[in-house]
Amino acid sequence: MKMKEKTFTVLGIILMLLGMGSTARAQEVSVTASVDRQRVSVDESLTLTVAVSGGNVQGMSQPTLPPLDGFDVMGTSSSSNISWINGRVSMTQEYRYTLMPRSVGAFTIDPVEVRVGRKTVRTEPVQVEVVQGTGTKPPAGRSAPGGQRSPPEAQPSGRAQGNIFITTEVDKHKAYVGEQLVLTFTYYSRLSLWNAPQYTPPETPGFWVEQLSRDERARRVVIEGRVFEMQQIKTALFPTSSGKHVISPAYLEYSTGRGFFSRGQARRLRTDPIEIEVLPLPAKGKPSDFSGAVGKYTLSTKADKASVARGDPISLEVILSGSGNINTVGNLNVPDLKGFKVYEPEIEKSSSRAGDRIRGKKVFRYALIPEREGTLWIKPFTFSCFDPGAKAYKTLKTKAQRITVTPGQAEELSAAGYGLTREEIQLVGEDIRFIKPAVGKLRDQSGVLYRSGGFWLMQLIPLVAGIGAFFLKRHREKMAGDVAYVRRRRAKGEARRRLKRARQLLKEHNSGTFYGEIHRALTQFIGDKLNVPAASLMRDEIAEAFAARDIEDGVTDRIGEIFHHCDAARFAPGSLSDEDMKNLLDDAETLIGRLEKML
Amino acid sequence: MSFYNRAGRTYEAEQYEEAVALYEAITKMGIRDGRVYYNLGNAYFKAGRLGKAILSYERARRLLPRDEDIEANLGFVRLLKVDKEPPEERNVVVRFVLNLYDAFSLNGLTKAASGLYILIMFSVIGWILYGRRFRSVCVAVLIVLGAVFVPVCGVLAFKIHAEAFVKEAIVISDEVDARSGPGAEHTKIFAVHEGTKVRLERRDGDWALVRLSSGIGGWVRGKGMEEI
Repeated sequence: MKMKEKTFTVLGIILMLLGMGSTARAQEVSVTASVDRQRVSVDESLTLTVAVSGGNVQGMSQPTLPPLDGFDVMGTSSSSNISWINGRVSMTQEYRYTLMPRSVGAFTIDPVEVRVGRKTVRTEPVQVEVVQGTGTKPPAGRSAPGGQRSPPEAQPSGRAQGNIFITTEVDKHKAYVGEQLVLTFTYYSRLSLWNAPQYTPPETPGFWVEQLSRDERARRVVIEGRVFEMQQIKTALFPTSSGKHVISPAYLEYSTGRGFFSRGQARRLRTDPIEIEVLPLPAKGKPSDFSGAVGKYTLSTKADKASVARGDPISLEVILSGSGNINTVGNLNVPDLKGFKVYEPEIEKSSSRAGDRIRGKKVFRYALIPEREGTLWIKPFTFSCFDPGAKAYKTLKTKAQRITVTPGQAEELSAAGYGLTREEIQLVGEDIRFIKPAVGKLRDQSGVLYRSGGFWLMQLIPLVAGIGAFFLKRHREKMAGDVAYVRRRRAKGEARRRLKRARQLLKEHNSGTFYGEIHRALTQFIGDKLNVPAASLMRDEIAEAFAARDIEDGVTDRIGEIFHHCDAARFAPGSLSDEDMKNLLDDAETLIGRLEKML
Repeated sequence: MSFYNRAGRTYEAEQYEEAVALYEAITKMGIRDGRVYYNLGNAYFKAGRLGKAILSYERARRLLPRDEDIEANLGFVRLLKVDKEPPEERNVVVRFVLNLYDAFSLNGLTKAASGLYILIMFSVIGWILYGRRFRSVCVAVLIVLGAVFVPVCGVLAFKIHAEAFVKEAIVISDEVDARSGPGAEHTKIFAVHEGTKVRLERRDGDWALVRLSSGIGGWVRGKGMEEI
């Protein structure tokens, strides 16, 4: 099995050997390409080594591999070696490529190009023969076209030839653009490996890839009476363009360790490529607003309130959800929302996995501000998508929603057009207060009180009262402290009282007491006025006092006369007629009146 | 009275211009009632004449101080003025005096002062006549009355001064230019807008020297404003 390494030496190396000492450095460089085996089985890897050697290999580029038909490049490594040959420095740079055959047959690896300085050096082509492997050829993942993925337990016979094998399967081979496919990679093994095998996923040009699931633990399955451990990796694929697409092989590299047939060599398994036919979306019945969404979706709306004050925002959520690639979903068709001010929506996208299906949810959050009161309708939002299950286009439509808009604070403002801020309004209210009704008679209130004379005249009243009070007080003080003053002030009143009584007596014809009263009235009056005891007043004394005060003699005489009459009548009652008595009374009255002024 | 009711009905019918005319007719008859001016202010405001509305409210306020409706509407309407006057910072005493000043009309204050004067005189009379027995009571009453009387008279003095010497006007045109002298050829200093209250200092023919509450003054054409 171990093959002798065969080296192809290119012309360059001969030239290098012959031309030792040549000045042209590029000519010293030799490039060789070699493979470790010229004959490999299809499930084994081979190593292509490109060696560049020469005095100075610095400044050389990496080798450029030609297009390799029938091989896949699995890995690259490089190493360099410096040695002395005849006192000269010789450098060797090696590049190793691990190649995996794709199929059985004879292949030629075309010359490898290496640029050294300005020169391009080419290697010789290398022949490789790929034969049917001694190991298991990986079973083909291809099942009947359009057929459903069959469970691994029901593998057809003949597959489980080896102890370890892999498969890739898709759930369908025909799909519409954007329709989800499930790619399942399955790994079967009945060996216990030294290291965990390395999985290289297939390349899927033309598909959008989403991871679905990866088995954490192996399951046991029985195939043809043999027990295998099985692990699966599932991937969702969404074709992005129509046409034929190829899913390239997936690889699994494992090491058998100190196996029987190799010295711990790495082994690679490979699946078959899978061809998928991607159908374009039908042109028939394509809605004008279709934006490329494929999947089974539903559309719903949710407003946070059905009744709102004018000017306050409503949050409207339009939710698109369903199975499909939500990343390719465009925007909604927003209806003409009359009466609302609509702000740009906030968009939230999320996806989840339900079984083998990718589900997506896209939430469009709109803020709507009603601009007028009353009943407003949020018209339906629409969205068009293609349902690959039904093979038809669908236009989703939300329900129309009724919003009751009540007049808000801002409402009255803009209606009145005053344009005040909310803060200012809080200070005073929304509008001016209403007019005053007619209550009571209208009056001219513009008169100025302090300018009217009447007002000032009125102000005099308390002043006069005050002055009066002042004099009243002085009078009282005099009364209290001066007996003579008091007697004099009271004299007239006293006299008048007595004369009144005398007149009464006259009517009663009580002449005796009558004269006494008159006499008493006079003497008391004069006594009061002169401040002397009335009882001691004699005619002479009166005359004396009167003379001192320059009172006419006539007055004194009259007093004497009255006294005389009174005395006479007292001692001879009835000497005077009623007429005389009345005259006497009148005389006394007049006299007192005159005396009041004189004393 | 019938004019008043008719004006009220036109106002309610939202025929504000007619309501204005009717209320103005009442004032022209010589009936200067605060209610009429208040309603007139409302009508002017609804008719979109801000300056005239403020003028009417100011007139109503002089006749009916302490009327909440007038204060509320004046406060509201003032917010719509173009010229915004920042509220002045004032200490407690000044505020108290100003509140007292605003809370009473000239006649009200006159009556209050007169009433206080009469009460004081009666107390004095009481003291004179019955001083011996009720001396301390009379003195206490006099002190209290005097404590009220003095500030009332002080404020009254300001009121009388304002009534007799201070003339205020409201700008009724949209915009009035104030110039450095009485005449259009003088430099423009500032502009006042509808609804702003100014103090009239002097008149010179068609022109008047006005001063704003901020203290700056200028000559404006008399047509653009109306005295309160």
